[in-house]
Amino acid sequence: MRQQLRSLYLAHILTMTLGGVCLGVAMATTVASCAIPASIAGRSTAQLTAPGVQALHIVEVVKTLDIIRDAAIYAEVAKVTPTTTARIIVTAHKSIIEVVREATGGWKATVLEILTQLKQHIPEADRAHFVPYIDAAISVIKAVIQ
Amino acid sequence: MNPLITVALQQLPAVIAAIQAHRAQANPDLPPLTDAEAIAICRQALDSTEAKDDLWLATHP
Repeated sequence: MRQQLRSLYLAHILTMTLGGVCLGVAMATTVASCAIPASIAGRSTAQLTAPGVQALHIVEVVKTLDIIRDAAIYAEVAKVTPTTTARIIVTAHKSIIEVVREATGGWKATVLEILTQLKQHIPEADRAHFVPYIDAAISVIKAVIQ
Repeated sequence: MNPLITVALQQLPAVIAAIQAHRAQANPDLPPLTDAEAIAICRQALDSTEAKDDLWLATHP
């Protein structure tokens, strides 16, 4: 777990350092990986109907949202960002998960609204660290979840 | 920017695509995933990530 978070943080630093080029690659990779996989644990997903496909879409969106949350947690551990900022992000992440869990459908608009508001609630000094991740998640949700 | 980093960034999507393609190969000996199993995987993912949120929030009051 610690190793995973360290990797995320290093990726974050790389993203911040190399700017738009790296972010573009990261976003393209994220969007590409957000389509449901052709198989899970070796088992084909080709015969899934709409409910199954929708469930796997949610799994992929959760992975994308987890990147934001995990970056915040590790940034807080590394003293890059204050606990208050990490708490804002973790709380927003939890709210999104609750919305997705409880909604029978049509959660996309609510989640996009929460992510948009999250960008505004993050303190100015920390926005540069996290807004690129949030924008990437917004792009993924808009592109993949119809 | 270091030329090696530039090359690495240019090649990264192709490398990731190749890994994903390899990992996406279904085993023909295994039954296909059912909708119920996909929904169970989704619930497990939601439970797991929310539990992590709860744990972090509880330890950072």
